[in-house]
Amino acid sequence: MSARPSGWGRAGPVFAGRNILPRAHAPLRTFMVAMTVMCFLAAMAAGGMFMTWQAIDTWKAGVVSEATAQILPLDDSPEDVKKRVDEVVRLLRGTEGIRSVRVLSMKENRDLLKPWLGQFGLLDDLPVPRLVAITLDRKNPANIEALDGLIRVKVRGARVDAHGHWVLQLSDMARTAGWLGVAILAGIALAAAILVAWAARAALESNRETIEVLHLVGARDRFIARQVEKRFLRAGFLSALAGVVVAFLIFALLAFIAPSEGIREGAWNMLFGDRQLALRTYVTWAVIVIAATTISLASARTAVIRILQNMFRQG
Amino acid sequence: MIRFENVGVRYGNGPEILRDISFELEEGGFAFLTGPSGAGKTTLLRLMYLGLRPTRGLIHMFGEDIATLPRRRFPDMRRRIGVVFQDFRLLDHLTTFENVALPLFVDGKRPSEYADDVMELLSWVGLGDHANAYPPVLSGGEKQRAAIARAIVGKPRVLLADEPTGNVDPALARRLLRLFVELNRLGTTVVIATHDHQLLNAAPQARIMTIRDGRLTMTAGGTP
Repeated sequence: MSARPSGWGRAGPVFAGRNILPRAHAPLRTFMVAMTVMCFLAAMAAGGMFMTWQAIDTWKAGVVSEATAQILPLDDSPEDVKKRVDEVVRLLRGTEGIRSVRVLSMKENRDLLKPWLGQFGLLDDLPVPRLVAITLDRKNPANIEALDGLIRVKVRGARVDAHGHWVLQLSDMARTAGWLGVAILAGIALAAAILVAWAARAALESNRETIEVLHLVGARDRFIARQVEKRFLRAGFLSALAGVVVAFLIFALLAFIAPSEGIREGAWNMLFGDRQLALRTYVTWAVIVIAATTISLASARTAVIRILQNMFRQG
Repeated sequence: MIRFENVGVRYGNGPEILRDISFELEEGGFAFLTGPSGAGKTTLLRLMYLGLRPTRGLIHMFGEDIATLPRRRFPDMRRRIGVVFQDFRLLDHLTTFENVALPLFVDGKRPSEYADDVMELLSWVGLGDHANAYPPVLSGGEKQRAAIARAIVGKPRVLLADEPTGNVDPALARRLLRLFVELNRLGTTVVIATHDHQLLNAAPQARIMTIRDGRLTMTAGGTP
């Protein structure tokens, strides 16, 4: 019996656990880099979209749960105006569905108007209305229209504004931003799919000779396809996972060291804080990894079948 | 065993490379395929190892018409044919051992079943010490022998060799020819494409198939 190759015992049976296709060559590495980058972009886009939605929801909820009562000075003396303000506050406090009521000071009123009227004396000459900030109970908000009617009847020169116009515009904007986010994500996903498919095909074309040799030594199409799929499943999955993990690390970093508190809070909620949002984010990222791996597998399979079908062609 | 009837091959709309090729190779035969460069030797071999579909004519391999043979049966057919390619076509990322064992591996055999046989074959072709070496570090002659070992490891019924002595010195060429003759004696049908006249003279009993201008002529010969 002939001597076995050196290192045989260490390596175990030859071919065991190995793929016949080369492990790493330039086109396969290019494919892996493309896959990593595109999955990273898709994960970032998805994360960014969730953070934007979350920010819009928070903002919208804040605006929806707020209302303002306005008391015009008319020609009353400051004491009379104060009496009317107190009356409004009393009525508001006695209404169900209102969490808190706060009378804005004259200074706060003036600060609100400064951007429009300037700060050089004009404000002192104008009859500035008094404002009362109302915070509604989110679970059981007061009926603003009814409240407005009551206040108008009971207190002269007073009314309640529910910001309804702003809320409507905000809802439209939020909806538009949401769809924009989906469109951007879809665009990136489509670009990723095309790029990954091309890279997979290019990587497989470079293995054409190996596939031809396998074919000519009697390998069945199924065997060759399985070898290709094994290689692309591993390379595709690991690359996609790497892209998503990098995106996760960036968002995690933002959650701790972003200069803006809003971004810190948004990233934290998306990854760890808000259970439902975090679940949605991780599921989306998992779908990105699965979809990218599936696309690379399908592209590689299509390419290998095309190569195999051309092997025995007419001259 | 191999029968061609009026076979013609044309690439695209170009002229016919092979014209009206008709011949029959019986089991256990030994033949040289010769002719000037570019005459169509490699194309004829490609037809025989099912690497190319003819434009016209009939090809029967092992009693089957390959035009009507379903694609799924091609691998079985190919396993009965060993091929030594002119450019060796060894896979650079596999060791010499793995390259030689490839036909057995793709056939689903376990390494433990064939390891000893492959090592024995490697020793027989003088590559016993190169089992772990990768093709890029082998010399032309060593690659040639590894390619021959891969072609015969599955004990094929037909061995097709395209210029198998093109990269070796005369002494090794004679040794390789003896190897082919030995295989033939064990029952393998051997077809060697070559334009090495010394090789032709070394096996005077072999049939000579000559291709010139796309046409084939045959000189009868006996079993070497």
